[in-house]
Amino acid sequence: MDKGQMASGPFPEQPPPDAAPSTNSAGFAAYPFSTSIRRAATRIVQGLALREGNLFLLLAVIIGLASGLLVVCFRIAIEWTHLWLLGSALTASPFRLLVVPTAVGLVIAAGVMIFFRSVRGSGVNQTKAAVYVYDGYIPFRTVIGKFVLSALAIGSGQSLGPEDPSLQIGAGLASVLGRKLHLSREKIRLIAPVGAAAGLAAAFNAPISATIFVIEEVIGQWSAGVLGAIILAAVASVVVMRGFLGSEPLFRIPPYRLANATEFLAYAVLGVIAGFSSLIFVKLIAALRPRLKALPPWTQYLQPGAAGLLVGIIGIWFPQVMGAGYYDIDQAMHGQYIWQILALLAVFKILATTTSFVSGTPGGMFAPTLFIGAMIGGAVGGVEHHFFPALTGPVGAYALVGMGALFAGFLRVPMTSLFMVLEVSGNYSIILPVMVSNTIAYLISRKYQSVALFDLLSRQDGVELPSMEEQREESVLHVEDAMRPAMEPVLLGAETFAEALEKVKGSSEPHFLVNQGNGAWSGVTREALEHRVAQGQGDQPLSGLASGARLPWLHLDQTLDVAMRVIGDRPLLPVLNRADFGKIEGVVSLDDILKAYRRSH
Amino acid sequence: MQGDRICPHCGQMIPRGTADCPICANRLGFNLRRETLLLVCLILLGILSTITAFGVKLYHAREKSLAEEWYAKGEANMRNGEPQDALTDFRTALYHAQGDAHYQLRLAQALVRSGRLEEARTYLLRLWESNPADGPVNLELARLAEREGKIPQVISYYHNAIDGVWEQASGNRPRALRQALSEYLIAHNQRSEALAELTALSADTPDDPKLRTQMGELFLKAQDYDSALKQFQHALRLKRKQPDAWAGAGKAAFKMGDYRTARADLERSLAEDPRNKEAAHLLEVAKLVLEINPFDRFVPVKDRRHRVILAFQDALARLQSCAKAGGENLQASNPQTDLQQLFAGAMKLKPQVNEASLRRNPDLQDSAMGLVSQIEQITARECGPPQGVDLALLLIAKGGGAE
Repeated sequence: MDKGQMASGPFPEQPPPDAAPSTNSAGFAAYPFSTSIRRAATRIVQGLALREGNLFLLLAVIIGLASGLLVVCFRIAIEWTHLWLLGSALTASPFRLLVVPTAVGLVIAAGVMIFFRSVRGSGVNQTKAAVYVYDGYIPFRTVIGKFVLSALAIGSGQSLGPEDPSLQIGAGLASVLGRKLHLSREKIRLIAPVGAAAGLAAAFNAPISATIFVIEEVIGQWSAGVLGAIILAAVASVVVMRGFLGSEPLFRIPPYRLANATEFLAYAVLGVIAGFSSLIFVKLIAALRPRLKALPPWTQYLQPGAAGLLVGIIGIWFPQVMGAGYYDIDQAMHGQYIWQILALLAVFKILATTTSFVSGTPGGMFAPTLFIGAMIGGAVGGVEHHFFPALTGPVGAYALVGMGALFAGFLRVPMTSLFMVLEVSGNYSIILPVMVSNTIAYLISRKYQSVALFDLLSRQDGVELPSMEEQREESVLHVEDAMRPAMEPVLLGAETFAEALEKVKGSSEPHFLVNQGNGAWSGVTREALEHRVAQGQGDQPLSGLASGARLPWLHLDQTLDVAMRVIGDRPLLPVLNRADFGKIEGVVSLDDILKAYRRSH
Repeated sequence: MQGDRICPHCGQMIPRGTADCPICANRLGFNLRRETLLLVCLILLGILSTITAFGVKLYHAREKSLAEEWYAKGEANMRNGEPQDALTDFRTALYHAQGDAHYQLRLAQALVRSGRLEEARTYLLRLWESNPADGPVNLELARLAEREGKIPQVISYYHNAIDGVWEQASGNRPRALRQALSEYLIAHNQRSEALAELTALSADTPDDPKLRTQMGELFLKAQDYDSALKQFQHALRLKRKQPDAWAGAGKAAFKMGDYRTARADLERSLAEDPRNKEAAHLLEVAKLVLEINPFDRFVPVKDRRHRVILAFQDALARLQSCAKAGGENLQASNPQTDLQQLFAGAMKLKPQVNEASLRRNPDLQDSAMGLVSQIEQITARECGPPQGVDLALLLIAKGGGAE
């Protein structure tokens, strides 16, 4: 309990001894004037003091505002860095394209190795690790490191995005504030995902997607306690971001209308291609990352520089692959590239992003994923238009759907991918194609890549973080999995002890359920029945049984976790029909529950 | 407050009642009350907001200046006739000022000038979707549709442009646009649509002699001679000394078969501007028509018979020369072709086409002139446009004796 709660609780503080009341002429007790003021001030302060729950929500808003501001600064820092390093032209000179990413890569490597070792890797996983391993602890140094080094990396043209760092900046900031405010351990664990949602929401300008992503990938469950805080933080950060950078969505989406149902086939094909592309992308990262990590430590000083050089070489011919690539996604959506170029951009972006990411350069995978998806979508749309001119969907719509499909397949967050497309497009009519493509891409990715990307990365780093996807897929045991039929006689409350004893004579069970009527149930042992009859109380009804306190009951669909909590020390519980509480579906005992758990392994 | 705490330095749990972290031995800092800390947070937020606002403002200003710089380069390239180079400049300007409608429009114009019509259309349609009432965008789309010959789209976009929103107001613009649309429609033989536009345009045209003359010429092109004549007359009422208006009025009258008025107007035009060759030619033809037209109501009866006889002779000569040029034998016993049948009819009528017969039977004049009309029309079709007297006879034939 915090101070505020203590102060406002049932045991108010006593006045200090030196402030003992004096008695005035009328005989009433009176405190000195200064003491009265102090007491009044104390009461005001006590009234203002925050309870833990309220503080958490208020803190969520503050974290949202602060994350929004930091993300705005982060984005501006990226743009300034880009201007400073690569100039204001759309395409820098080949010399710059080769030298800048290489040299900056070397600087970044030194920064990572010497000052900010924790900024390597995925911000999502680091936030998850904070929640599940480090009691919500993310060092402030990580926030600074992510900010500076990611801005340098993305600004110098490394093929990475600002969303993942933004997420971690938000989470780190939240962690610092939570610690400084001495929140409880449970709250500190929860505050990092709140900050993560705020950071991601501001980076994407998409509060719903950010909220769902954090639920889907970091926390893994819809908890009322944290959902409110996440939403508040996400909304606050987006409000700040829009206030400074404008309220326009991330992408300007061309108008879309599904004219013909046969176009679903085209979107299904897109889903298949996006699914396999995401698979190639994940497999490349999965194969290269451990190999680079296994190289001698000194090579880590060179890897980001080498990655920068490779990205720069690609950038000479395809400058679009450098940086986050939002501008080019927008161009693709508005049909500014022919399908051959789009396909090449997708291929080279996969190569460039894989190189940048596996080299340990800090930066995120979200924007590159969107870029690759948009290019694949645009290319598929272009090809389909070429061979089937009757298809009316604009190439931009395919690019948008492709973005969602690759996101679903690569990051394995199907719900986030769906809402993200809706949110960045502001167009609900695209929902059906998105659902078709995303589902296909997600299923293909799951079929051929058993471990999702984030889980794969954490396992490569030697940390076994809980896999949200695996958790979602885990089968939950229900009461019906443990229950057995009620073979033993069920006694009635109106029956006498003698009648009940006679009724259970043929049963070997020691415990019996008693239906007291009106949905009330209790239990009785054979021993108790025999005892009552032996004492000459055989003609008394079972309803008068002293131990006839009502038993809790269960239903078929309730989880065994609930059953475990309910059953306590009771030997047996009735499983009742939800529509008729007098009808027994079966019985369950603690032993039955344990057997069911054993069977499931 | 007395619950579990975490060391801000190493992240480890600190046992209850302990001031130092047992792992990193760092002493915990001064323990501020939460409310004070929150207040500090809010103050820091305010400071961060100010810094962010300053940074964003600086950044936007820099982006704006870069965009203007690249835009100016693009404009210079456009002026130098290098739209390809301008494309890159405008694209870069747009990169720094994303969504700027003016830059997008200039980029689209550069794309059009570079012949990249599809890309231009994409940009223009994007602009149009965001603001369908934008005048310049609609005008560019109209011009793009003009290039592709999509007449309904041309009309639609021009109308949008005429009624659209323009950054700089100009009273003349709607007239100029409607005029351009009318000229396009006339050039593409969309006469009824063109006349609808011209009618609207004439209603908008101020009482300016030059503009009225221009209107008359447009009506002339659209073959609405009556309206054309009215426009020229309107122009001449405003200012008498206008050779173009006189010539236009003369031409309109000529086209309507009012050769007497045409002669007067054309003579007036040539008196003011003798270099107008078209007017001179029309005047010559008009005079000839008036000279040989037997239907002229001012001609005495005797002269009319004489004119019929001369017209018949000229037509017969034209028929013979046309047949000769085509190597056709007019004396065929069984006339098959149009020329042979006309010749047979002429030979049959010829003995009666003389002063005495025409005087005895006035209906013969109509029969003779009917045959003349047929000969001139068919020979014009078979042997090309006539000249001189034959042209005059053809015009008299087409006019049906309007004079």
